[in-house]
Amino acid sequence: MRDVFATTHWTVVLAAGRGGTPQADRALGELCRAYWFPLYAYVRRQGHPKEDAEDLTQGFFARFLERNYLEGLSSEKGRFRAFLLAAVKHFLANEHDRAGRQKRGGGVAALSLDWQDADTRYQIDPADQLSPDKLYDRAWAMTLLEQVITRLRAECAADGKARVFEQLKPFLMAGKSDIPYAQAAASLGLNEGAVRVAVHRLRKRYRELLRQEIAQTLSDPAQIEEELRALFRAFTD
Amino acid sequence: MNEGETNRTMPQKCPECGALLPAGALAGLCPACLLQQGAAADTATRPEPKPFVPPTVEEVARLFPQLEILGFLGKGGMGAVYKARQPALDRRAALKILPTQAAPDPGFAERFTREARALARLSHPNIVAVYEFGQVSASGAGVPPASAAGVPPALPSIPSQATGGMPALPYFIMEFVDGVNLRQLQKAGRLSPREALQIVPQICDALQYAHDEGVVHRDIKPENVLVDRKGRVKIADFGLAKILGHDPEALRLTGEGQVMGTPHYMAPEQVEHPLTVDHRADIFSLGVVFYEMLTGELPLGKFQPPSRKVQVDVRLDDVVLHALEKEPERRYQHVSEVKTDMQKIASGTLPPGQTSGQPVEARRLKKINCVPALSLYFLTSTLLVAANWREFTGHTDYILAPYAAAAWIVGGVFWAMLHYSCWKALPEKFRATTPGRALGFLFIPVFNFYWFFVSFPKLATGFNALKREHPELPIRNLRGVGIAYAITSVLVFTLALNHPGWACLIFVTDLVLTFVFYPGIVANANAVIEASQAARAVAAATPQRPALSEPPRSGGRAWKIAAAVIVAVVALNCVIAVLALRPALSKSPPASGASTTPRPEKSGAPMVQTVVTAPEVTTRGDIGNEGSALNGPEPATGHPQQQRPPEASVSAVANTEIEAHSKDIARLKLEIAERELNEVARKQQVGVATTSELEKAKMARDIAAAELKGDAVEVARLKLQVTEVDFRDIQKRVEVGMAAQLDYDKAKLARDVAAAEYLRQQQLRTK
Repeated sequence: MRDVFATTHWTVVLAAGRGGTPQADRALGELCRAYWFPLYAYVRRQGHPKEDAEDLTQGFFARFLERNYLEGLSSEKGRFRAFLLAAVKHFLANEHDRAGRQKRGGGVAALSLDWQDADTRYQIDPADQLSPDKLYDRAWAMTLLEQVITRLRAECAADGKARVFEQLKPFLMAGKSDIPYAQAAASLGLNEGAVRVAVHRLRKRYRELLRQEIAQTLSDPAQIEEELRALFRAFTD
Repeated sequence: MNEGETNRTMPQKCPECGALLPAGALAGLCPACLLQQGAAADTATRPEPKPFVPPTVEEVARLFPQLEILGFLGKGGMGAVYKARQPALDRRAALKILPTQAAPDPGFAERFTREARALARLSHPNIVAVYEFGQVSASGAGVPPASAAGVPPALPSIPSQATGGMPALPYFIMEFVDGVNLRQLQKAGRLSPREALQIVPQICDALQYAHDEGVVHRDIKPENVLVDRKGRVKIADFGLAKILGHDPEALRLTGEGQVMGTPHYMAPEQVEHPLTVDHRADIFSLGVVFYEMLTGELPLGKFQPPSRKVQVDVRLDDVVLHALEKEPERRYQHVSEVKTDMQKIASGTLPPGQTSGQPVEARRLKKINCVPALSLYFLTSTLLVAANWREFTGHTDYILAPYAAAAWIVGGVFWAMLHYSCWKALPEKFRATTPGRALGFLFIPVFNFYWFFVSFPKLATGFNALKREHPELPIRNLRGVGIAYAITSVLVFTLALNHPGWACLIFVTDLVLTFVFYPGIVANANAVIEASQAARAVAAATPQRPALSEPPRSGGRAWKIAAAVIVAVVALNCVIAVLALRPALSKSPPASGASTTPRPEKSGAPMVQTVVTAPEVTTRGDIGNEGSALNGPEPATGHPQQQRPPEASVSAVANTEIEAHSKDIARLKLEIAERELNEVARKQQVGVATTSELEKAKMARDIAAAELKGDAVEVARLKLQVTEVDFRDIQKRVEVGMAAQLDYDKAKLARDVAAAEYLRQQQLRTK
């Protein structure tokens, strides 16, 4: 696992530090591309209207991608999620002082973010009572899970098992022992034993992918459990 | 499943956790549950019954015609067990059927054979024996012939087909154990720490044997430890984890994901690096089982050492924690080491020669109040005095016999000292003493009272009267008896306090002397008196006959025999006393330091040797200075004794060499003490060592430093501190009944000696 970790995005970024390398830029870009929505949700939740939130998010990322924030906030460096949150808070606090609201562009390659989709997603999230921090964490968790599920689906499709995946997807959740294996077996035309094996394999793969995804945002493998717990807490207010 | 459909009007709820389901990309999946599933360890073994459905008794009977199936015993993760009988051998057996293989695994049969053979080779009283093993093809194919040698027929493993073909059933025929497993015992609440301490060594034996044979259990847990009606421990399911290899749900997984065993009992390396697992994983599991037996809980997270949760010896903590080390290198490397340590503890805390049940007894006796005992004693004494008052006041003759008087005085003085010591010591000693001791402490004073204030004066009086009336009779025995009693009383009273057993023995010989020979002596004396009276009468009647001047021969011989017996008894008493004190007398004083100080830096029980040196110093403290008489020659002062050498230069050179050498040694000792201190400090930070251990380690280091400097006063002072800490500790433990009286005595003694040494060093310095 250690070798894998040497090449997670976040460790690459941290390793590059101030100097920056093409790999670090790419890594950071990957991370931001993946997790920009939670950030947007946070900014929106802070009370900024749609357009302002868009501006701010874009501006933040422009700044961020210039690696201006990587020097400070050392306590958060272990986890990208926390780091990003701290950075955006810092940014927003600074922005508040500035009067103008110019669009920031140029500089490093801006992320082309789908604002419309973001807005939609923000609207439909049934989480009106949450604090911005918690909303951020939840959105983060969902983004993370979406990516994992997408990858899992893609893998299964590549194996020709798309239908199996769709049928067995519900079993991915932390289930009790009374999973209706028999039903699934019937609808899939397999025997129960094979279904059990398939579910087990799917779950295992899911876990692996989940851990890999999380690992991309951490610098230390020991923190995976903690990160999982933190994300889980976002749902258990 | 409607992907991408958003439902704004009614957000759905997750059926599992009840949280609101997000609409959108996660398509009906609950993020909370997904996260939970994500956090689940691959190794989680579900506690509910496995989906493996065991065959019915009828099916099994059909499959195994060579056995008489008596019933179904139970099922667990490793298969189903049936009670059976082997009619051909007329013995009971247990038939274990392993879970069927749902997916074909070509390597299974070969692995099964190999492992089963290794198991069948294990022959140990604490391991459930394997009689046979093999594979039967379940219904359909013919049953393969039973193989008594345990070699299964070469069956290719029958793959299961999509329509549910019948797989091969691996089975074992094993020794039937009429008993329960540890889990059942724990649940019934029948496991006390004492029983745990008797069970664990047997497990160690079994495991060590298996490890020597190259078999690792990998699944030690309470369910696998059986205890039969005779209290014998038997380990079951050896190596089955390796045969099954994987998740007991009977799912075959290829590649990684191999896991075995119950998570709580598994060693960390079984989870993280399954390929590097060796016999030390069993030691970890044993540690978990041990901890659970002692405390009733599992050692999870940051757990308390057992001595803080139940009343067990504090040193067991080390054993358990050492077994529970996360890294295999830091654990015990052999199971036998666990057993050895436990035996050392068992023999260290207890007075020598007593069984492991002793501490419990000592605790029970703790309740004895000394007040009733003392009252009984004084009451008896008073009664005896009252009963014999006439003797005291009526006869004044006993004062006349000088030897009697002397013996009486000597005996009396010692008797008084004994009673004084008993008076001082009884409250402490009765706190946690043994029945033998209690008997000794009471018996000797009471009986001695009668002895010295009643019997002996009577005897003396009798002899005095005899002497007066018949001056021609050689009354020699009085002197002998007097001396005998004097010596005896000295021995008895000196030993009685700490070796009541020995003292009683001496006393018994004196009883023999009295009750057997005293009447005989008196009878003889009477016979002599009668004979001489008769002779006088005859002489009066016939004046020409010369008076009988010589004593009758029989009388003379009787006196001689009596004298010989007395001498023999005295000699025997001396021998007994020497035996009792021998270890102390043979201990020659070392060249440096206080000779009788138990080394305080050593944590753990001082050696048994120091126990026997106790009386000499106790008597020094309590009774008088006779201790020094029992000591060897005076302990030497700080440097080795110097002979007067012929060449002063040679000795000087030699001495400087010795000095330098001893400085090196002192330096090394300091280094070791430093390292020890760091180790303990580290342990204390994580809560594995107590603060008093840290204190002691610090003091040990300081002592080593002071010794290097050559500051004897400082050394003595620090050593005194250490003994104070120990004594304090023991006091606390005695109060809760966790330490025996012996430890208390030793600690107190050590403290007193260290204090004396400190004083002496100070005086030496000021001279």
